[in-house]
Amino acid sequence: MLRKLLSGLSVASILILTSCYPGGAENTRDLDIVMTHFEPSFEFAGKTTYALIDSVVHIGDDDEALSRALDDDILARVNSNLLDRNYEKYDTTNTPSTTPPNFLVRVSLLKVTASGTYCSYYPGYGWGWWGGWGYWYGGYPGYGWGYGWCGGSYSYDIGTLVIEMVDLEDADSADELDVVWMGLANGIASGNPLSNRDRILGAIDQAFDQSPYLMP
Amino acid sequence: MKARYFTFALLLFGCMLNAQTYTRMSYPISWGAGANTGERINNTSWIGYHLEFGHDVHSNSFVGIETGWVTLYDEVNNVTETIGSTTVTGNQYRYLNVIPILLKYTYLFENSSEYVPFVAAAGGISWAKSTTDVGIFRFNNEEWPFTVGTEVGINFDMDYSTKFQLSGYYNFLAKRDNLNSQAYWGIRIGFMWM
Repeated sequence: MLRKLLSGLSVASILILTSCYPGGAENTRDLDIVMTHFEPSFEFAGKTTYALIDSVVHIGDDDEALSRALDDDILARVNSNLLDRNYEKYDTTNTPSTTPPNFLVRVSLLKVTASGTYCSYYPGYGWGWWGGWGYWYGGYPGYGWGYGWCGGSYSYDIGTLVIEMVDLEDADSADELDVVWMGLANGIASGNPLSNRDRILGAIDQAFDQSPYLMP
Repeated sequence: MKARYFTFALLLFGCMLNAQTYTRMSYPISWGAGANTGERINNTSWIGYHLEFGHDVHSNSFVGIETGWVTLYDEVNNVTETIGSTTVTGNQYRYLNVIPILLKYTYLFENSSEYVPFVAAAGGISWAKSTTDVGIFRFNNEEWPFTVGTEVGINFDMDYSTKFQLSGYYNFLAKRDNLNSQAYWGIRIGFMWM
């Protein structure tokens, strides 16, 4: 009798205890990540000037791209981070066109519905398990070291902020621009604009903070 | 030579026919150990189970098969990791799942009391899966590494065939391909039926 009772209790205990598989994210903010990548062969030192494209490029896979309400805040925060690192903003009025800035900086906001498709990311860097950023970037032609994202059909929307620094000084032509640094902030697009603002601006700061090589 | 093998097999078969079998079932509480597991997952695991079946090969010696399941888990916020020229910051949800399949030798220090200490050593393979969730992305390393383990504990006789068991154990999983070596230890609370 005791044997049967203990056996039953043991099995029941195991089933109860093992049914509590642990953890995971509890809210959308927990899923935010910031990623930065730089071109290893590029020498950042000595390059001081940048031009910031004065509007945010919005890319969406439907008619519900992210609101433009945060565009000015986003551009201002990117600008302040560059200035804080002693970069000089290019004077488009007084600088001769024959003296281009060292960098062109572009900011994009993407909203996509992600898919479960998995694809390679940065072959050689061990990121093959990344699920991708949810879009295929078709912007600048002729990237020196191309990168790709895969997209698809998760049941939730993903917002991605992309900051790109393009090397203008060493560009062979307008069609051959190399992205030498990029910062990406990726997370679930929530319905709370205030939350999105804090998350996006915080992510911009983090992208620059984790890129100490961005010093002229 | 064939006759020797035949005789040995016959003796072994005879021993097995007369063997005293046992079954163990216990609940492990586990912790990661070492740089690859303990520093990565610094949390108490309350999830898992342990099963063992075997028979005696001597009055105090038993050989059996051990299996079970242990899940180690930890959550670390705002982790920044760099691989090559890429840096990623985010909350990490870290898991290690292990299902060992081990051949085990157990020795009982029989005495006149109802408390019987025992020691055990085991070896075999494990299915191990190390998972890190960051954002909406999941990093998996899944392998079948070689595994060794040891256990020290005490049996308490509850009746002629049932024993309550309390033990401490340690398992080490060797590095294999993409999965670094892993180690974990813990205590087991359970029963043994003979």
